[in-house]
Amino acid sequence: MIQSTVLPHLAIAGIKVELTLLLVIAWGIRRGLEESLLWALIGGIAVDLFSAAPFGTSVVSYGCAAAVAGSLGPLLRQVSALLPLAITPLAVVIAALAAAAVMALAGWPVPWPSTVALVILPAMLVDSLAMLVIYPLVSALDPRPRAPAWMI
Amino acid sequence: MLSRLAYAIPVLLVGILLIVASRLPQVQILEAVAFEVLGPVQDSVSIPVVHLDRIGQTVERISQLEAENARLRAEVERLSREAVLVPELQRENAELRAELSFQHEHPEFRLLSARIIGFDPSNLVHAIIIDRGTRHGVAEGMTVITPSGLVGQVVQVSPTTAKVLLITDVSSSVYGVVQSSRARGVVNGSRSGDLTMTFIPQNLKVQPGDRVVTSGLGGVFPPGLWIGTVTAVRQNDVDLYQEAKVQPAVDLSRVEEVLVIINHLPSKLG
Repeated sequence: MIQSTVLPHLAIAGIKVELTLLLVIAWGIRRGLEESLLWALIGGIAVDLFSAAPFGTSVVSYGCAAAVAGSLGPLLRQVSALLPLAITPLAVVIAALAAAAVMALAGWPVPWPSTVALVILPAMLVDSLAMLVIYPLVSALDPRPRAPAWMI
Repeated sequence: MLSRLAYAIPVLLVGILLIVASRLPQVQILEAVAFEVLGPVQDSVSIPVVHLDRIGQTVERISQLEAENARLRAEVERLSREAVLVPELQRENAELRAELSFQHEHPEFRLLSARIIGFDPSNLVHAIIIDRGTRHGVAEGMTVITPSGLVGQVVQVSPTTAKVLLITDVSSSVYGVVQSSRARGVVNGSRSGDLTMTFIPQNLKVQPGDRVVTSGLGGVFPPGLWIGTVTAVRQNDVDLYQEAKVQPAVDLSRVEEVLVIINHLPSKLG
């Protein structure tokens, strides 16, 4: 609801911060694949309720982002606490491409060059900057990240 | 008891004696000397008393000032609230007047006022959420406008809310006509939020400043609704059609209230 009512007023060059997506990515980095996929499902459904895009678009999109963040995040975190933030741009781009692909399959027109240039790349920048604020907040909520399965 | 009263007699006799003696010059001199001696003493005593009296008055004044301060603060708060409220009321008044004027100009439309309560959370979709739904007579496909022009079309409805796809969305297509030359075309949204009018016949003149309105073709939108104004034209003799950039009539980033035309639904072409 915050993403639908409050964040549009804070849009940068028309690009809104995708708060729910960033929370899914941050949780994936902290807690691994399984939990981030669960939150991708819950968060995706919640966002789809407010979106005019085909229902399920955000579930697929966030699921792809969760897969990236949940797989790579815990590994990178063993190297450095800040390195997982580098996953954010990749996860955001993959999520946006997945969403655009779902909409194209559903029959929505998707002009790929302008979609990438005017939406996906700016969203990657805006969300990456926003993650610098969101990740510490998520870390404060979850002070004990789970180690990757191969280490257990 | 009588013996006690007897003690008063000498006192009274002395008092009478003093009254009589006060007329004597010697007694008056004594009186003046005593007064002269006691005067400075009295003056010294009176100074702190005067100060104490002033302090007392100041304390009383402080409590009066506190009460007045509280009263003035409340007045300032009331005026501050009004200062915020008045511009809002003026804005609402202006909007309602514009809606009323639009209704008078278009008596064929039944209009339902709605407030924008949210925006599509996805960056890939340009849509808004309004606070009217099926309970208020809104249905899928209805046209959404403001007195300034076309906003979009209802795409999803619930009992109390509806999602409206804006004309600036890339999936939006509106049949339009240039008012001056009657050149017809299709107005599409884009990722940048601008509008592009395509399929404009080459032989018809279109120039910046021309107004584009809905043509009513296809029966989706009622005719005559202002879509936007031509800002640039791209014409190439080797192309079949010319293209025009159109600036939306409605600043969709600032609009807060919209109107739903509830007595017009898209025609189903067989």
